[in-house]
Amino acid sequence: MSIQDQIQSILLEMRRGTLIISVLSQLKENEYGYSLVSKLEAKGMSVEPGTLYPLLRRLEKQGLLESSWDITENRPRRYYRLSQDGMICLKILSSEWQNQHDIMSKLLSEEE
Amino acid sequence: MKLIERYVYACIRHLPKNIRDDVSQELTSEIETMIDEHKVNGTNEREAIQMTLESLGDPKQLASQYIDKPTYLIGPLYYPTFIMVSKIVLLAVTIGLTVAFFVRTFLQTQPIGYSIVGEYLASIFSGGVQSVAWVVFIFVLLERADDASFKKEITANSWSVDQLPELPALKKSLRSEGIVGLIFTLIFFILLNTRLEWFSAFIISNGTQSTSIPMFNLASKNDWLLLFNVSLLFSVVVHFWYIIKPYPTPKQFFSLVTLELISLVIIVIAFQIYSPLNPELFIQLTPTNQTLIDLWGQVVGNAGWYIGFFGLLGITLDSISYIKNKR
Repeated sequence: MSIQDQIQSILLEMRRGTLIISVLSQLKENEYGYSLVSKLEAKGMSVEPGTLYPLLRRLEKQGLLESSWDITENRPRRYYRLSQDGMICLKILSSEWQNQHDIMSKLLSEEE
Repeated sequence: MKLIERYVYACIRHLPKNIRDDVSQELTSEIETMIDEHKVNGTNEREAIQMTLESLGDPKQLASQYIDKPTYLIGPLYYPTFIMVSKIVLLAVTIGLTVAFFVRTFLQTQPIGYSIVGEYLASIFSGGVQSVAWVVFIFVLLERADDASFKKEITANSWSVDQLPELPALKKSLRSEGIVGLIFTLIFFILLNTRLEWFSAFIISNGTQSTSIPMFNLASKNDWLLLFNVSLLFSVVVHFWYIIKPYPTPKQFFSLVTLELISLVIIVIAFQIYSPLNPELFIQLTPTNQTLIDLWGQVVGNAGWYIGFFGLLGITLDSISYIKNKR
């Protein structure tokens, strides 16, 4: 494996680790799968639809999200939003993320 | 539009039935939205469909992400042991059946014909398939049990250093005992269920004619064989456990001893209630020798107690040896 491949693989792992918190952070309001892909993309977080759609269902099964079908428009859509547990989880994760960010900043500044 | 249906079908056919309709509806809706988005940007419909489906990737891979349970029977943790045990079992069954075949042909004093060789090959095939099926079944149970206990441990956060396995160099490994025990148990199980007539005494009269007298009581076969099988199944589980976890913790060892005791109790019950040994064996073998006939009568009547006694002795000695090793 070349150094470029290794970097790509590490970057992929890093992004995987941040995906759930990114998704939770954008679901304080109702979103359907593709609208969430676009929302994340617009904020610089690129995510494959094929990764996101199953993830939304898994998070719902874990009780962090709740969903409902909207059949009032011409195309029925499934909307997801944070559940009560999801909100608590997001709060804890955000705080932990800040903590990790501070630690990493300190570690990386020592490197420089 | 046909392409969308084909894509959705290619994905949901790999999913459990209870979520197929729901995923199908949601995925179709999302795909159509994505296609509309491409069309707004000036792409024609056919290209928009193609771009959308390609961005979702291989439908089989997409389906795998919807499934959160393991889709394998035997996982990477047990796979190498599964292969090892399967090889041992297949070898043992082949050797056991071959030895039994040669003993039988030797005693029968009949020329070896195609039918006997065919029967021998068929018995190896069916014995091999049966034994591997049992190995798979037990490993699947282990895999599921391990998965459940792992999840329980994670939730309870109850791990302590006492649960660490012993170092191989310091403590006695029970793996070899497990392998030998498993081989003999499986051979016995297969022969008992497929070739019961091989457990017979053969009388050769007039130099060529041979008569076989079954060792087991064929009249009550259906009753005792069921109990034998249940007992052997417990025994197989114990041997497997020793192979997979050759250095059991005290808690695991206690569970194993319990299983061995259950197996023993079942076999004692089978012997005492259904009398699996042929009570007329010696009447037919040596009709004039009353001493042997009486002795056999005693054996048949009390076989369960003898087995119970020696079985219990074995379990006790194993437990003492385990405790000594532990210290």
